[in-house]
Amino acid sequence: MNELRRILSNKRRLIILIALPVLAVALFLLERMGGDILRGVSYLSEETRQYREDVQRFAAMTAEEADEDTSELYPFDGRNPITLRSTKLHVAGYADYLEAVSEQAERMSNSSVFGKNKNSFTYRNIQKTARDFEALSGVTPEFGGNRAIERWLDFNIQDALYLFAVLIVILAFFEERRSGLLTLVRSCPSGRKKLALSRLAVLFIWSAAFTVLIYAGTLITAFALYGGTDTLSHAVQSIESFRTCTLRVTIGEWIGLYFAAKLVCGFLIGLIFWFVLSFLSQTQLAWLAVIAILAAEYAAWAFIPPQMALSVFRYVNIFSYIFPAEALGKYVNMNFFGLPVGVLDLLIVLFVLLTAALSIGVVLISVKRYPVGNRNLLGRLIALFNKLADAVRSRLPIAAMEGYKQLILGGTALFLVAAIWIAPRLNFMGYSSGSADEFLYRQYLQEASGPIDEKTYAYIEQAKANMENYQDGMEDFGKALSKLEAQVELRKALADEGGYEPWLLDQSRLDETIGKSSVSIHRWNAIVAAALVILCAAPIFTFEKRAGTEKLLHSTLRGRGFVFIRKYLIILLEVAAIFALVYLRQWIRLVRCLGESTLSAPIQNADILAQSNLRITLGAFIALIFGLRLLALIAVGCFTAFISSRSQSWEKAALTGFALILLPGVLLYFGSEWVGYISIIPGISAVDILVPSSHSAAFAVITAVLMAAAAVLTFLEYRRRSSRLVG
Amino acid sequence: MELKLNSLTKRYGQKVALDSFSYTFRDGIYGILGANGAGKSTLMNLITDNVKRDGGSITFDGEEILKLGDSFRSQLGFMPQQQGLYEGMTAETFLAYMARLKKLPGKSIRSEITRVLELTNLTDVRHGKIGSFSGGMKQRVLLAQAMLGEPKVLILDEPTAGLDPKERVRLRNYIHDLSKDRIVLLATHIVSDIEAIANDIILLKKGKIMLSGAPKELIASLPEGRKPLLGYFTLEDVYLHYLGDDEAEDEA
Repeated sequence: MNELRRILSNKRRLIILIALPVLAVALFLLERMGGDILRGVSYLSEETRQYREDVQRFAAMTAEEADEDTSELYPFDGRNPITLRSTKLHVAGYADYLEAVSEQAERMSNSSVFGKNKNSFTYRNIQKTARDFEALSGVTPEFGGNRAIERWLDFNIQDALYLFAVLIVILAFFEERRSGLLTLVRSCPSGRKKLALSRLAVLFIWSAAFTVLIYAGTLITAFALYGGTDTLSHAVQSIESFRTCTLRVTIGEWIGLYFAAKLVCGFLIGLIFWFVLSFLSQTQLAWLAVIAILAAEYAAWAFIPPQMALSVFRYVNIFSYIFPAEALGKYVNMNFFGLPVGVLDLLIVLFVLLTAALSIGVVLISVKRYPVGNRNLLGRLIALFNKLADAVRSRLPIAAMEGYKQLILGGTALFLVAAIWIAPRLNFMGYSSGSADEFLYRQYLQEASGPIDEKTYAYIEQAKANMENYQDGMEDFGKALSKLEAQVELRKALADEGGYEPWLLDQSRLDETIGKSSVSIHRWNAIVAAALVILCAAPIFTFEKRAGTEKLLHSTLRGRGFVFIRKYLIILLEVAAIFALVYLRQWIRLVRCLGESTLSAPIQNADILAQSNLRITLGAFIALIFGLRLLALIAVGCFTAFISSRSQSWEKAALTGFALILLPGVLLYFGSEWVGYISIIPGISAVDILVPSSHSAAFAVITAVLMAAAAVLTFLEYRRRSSRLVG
Repeated sequence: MELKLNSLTKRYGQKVALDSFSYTFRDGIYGILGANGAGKSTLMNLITDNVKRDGGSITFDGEEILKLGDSFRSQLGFMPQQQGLYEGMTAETFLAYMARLKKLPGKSIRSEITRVLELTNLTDVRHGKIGSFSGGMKQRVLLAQAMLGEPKVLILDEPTAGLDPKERVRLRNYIHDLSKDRIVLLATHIVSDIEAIANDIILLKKGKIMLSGAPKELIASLPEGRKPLLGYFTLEDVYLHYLGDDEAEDEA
């Protein structure tokens, strides 16, 4: 097919498309590992092993035995018994649930409140619900390990990647408009209707291909991790979250329906994008419209409660097509002019109507719309918008204009938006596992943390007295308390020796947050933060090269050193924004995690910092960590700007930045410690430097050297650009 | 006002782009005529200090422009050959940005933008995105920014490329009007652009001055026996006589 061949002939597009399914699986695994590849591998294998064991254990139990199981109290992961018990009870009680639905419907129908008006929506809804659930009689859910499917359905990143794939093909449809070939293409015999029909077929094939590539990949990965392929023949109601699903299908059949739904929904969403971008020939306005539609739909979908009168906007929504699992898995009826109509039925009907209408629409636009020369209402609106915007833009000082060029015209604002999405998904704590008494000990520590004084001893005495009330697990409580007492004495002895105030701190928590257990996490966060800075800073000078304005700017009074300084100011602001997004939140959570009361403790009370010569509090130490991170990120920004000034395109600048700055960091992350001697990632990680270790001194020196180098290069570049451009 | 170039030289590797170029520019319009690759743009870039010279000096009113730095550039208006523009900006925003780079007083920026837009016949599209402009309109935007602040030295590199005949005549008239108390350097290979307005014309060939003088003087320098193209001698004949070999060599 000519159009498909054309679209796939673009190498960059092809690479992205091949990468998407791989990325989906990689990100799924990364999410399952809690964002930490190194430690997460062991965590994930432990989690999946434990899960499969617990599934087998609960499968052998009766519902009563499961109800009495108390194994979640001191496990590695207490979630398994809680969820599996719940599933066991759900499966056992499903028949009762169906009967309860029917009985409730009968009760409500006969009541004076609901049964009075038999033509009301409420009465009809009660009857319909009863009928729909009655059709499920005889369905027998079975117990099984459904985590694979649950995790797979919860993995929303794959939906974003799928949308991205759909968007890529839609953008490809507008390539001739962007490259100025539209009039040429339209002048060809097959350049209008045939081309539009061909593109409809391409969109369908594309949606089908990526549905399989992305969703099948992650599903297979999920099953490989958690097992559960034996549950495919179970009724879909075996999964607890599908309790209200009224489809009489197996889990395997439901998955098939889901794939079909994703395919057709992907096709519909592609059509929506296509239609809007075609209808509004002004590109920026079209994109604004797409974003506005998505934002409005998302707001309705995410924030309108289901019970509200406006809930029709919540359910009949583009996001219901982006996330069809809800419509397929939950029973909801809408009030359609007094008649109860299932959301799924409504969505199907709308889908058919929209698909037909939009398909006809895109073909008509392709045939009938003249691509040039028409100044319509929209064109006038855009001119008005530009007029108003110019009133502001023409008054902007040069620094603000540089920001406008960088963020809006250069598009780096998108990376900041990406940072808003990425940052909350970054972890900042390592993992630790422990026995029951370790768990109890940490509980005691949390309560007793603080300066060691009379209150500490009073707490220990009280805890001892309370211990006698526990019959079960008394031994574990006793061990935990003994450990606590020993820790108190140890802290006192060390503090006396070191000449500082003794504090009781949760050493494990410190290790998880800023110690050895957290190093890989912080290195990963550093890589992500550095990547964002590189992407934002790379276009700072290449933008001028691409626009061809270097010489023009350079010939003006302020177009050299003055502009240079303002460009660097913009980079500083971008670095600050990325720092705030990635690290400020972590700072706040870290402080909360450690406890505000522990911030005043001298750092020597922490085992990991016992050898430190700094005479500061834990709070000051944490501030030092984040201060160092900010400085190191600024150095990355300066390096990238230097690379940008010597590169021809932002892609080359970004790739060079990745190679020089990120690649050593990635190698360091995966265990090549020696690479840390040429990388600034330890500086951004900060714990690599500030928490004493065998490498910390060397990393500190290297970071200082690299920061100094960044400053020197910046100064040299300023001198160069203040004089002339080329040799 | 005097812009003096003394033995100006520029090499790109083995190729000599400008070879000991010496000339003194005073008030008036100067046409720099030469084939592609003759060194016109190199000359413009040297004067605007966008390229490092390999020899020679450039002085403005007796002072080396490298020493003058900012104060020389504050009197400069430059229209480069390549259409380097911010396509995502409107004409108004772009001109405002350039006005600020030229350090025009804030209060006068709007009136100055209006003035140059009128001169270049772009008032109707001042709020239009530059990316949507035709080639000729983009050329006029570049010209408009060069004229911001009424610079004393105006460097125009191929200013009429992409303009229709009416616009070219308009531009010529404008340049002619502002040439009083200004130095205007107009680099082009379109003879008719400078024939009517230039006080002096410099014929540039392979980085060297072949000939210079007023249009009439150049025409008078043509050898007897040469047949005119159009029945009477014009600068086209001068161009072909002195610079026509360049194109023949290029073709060969």
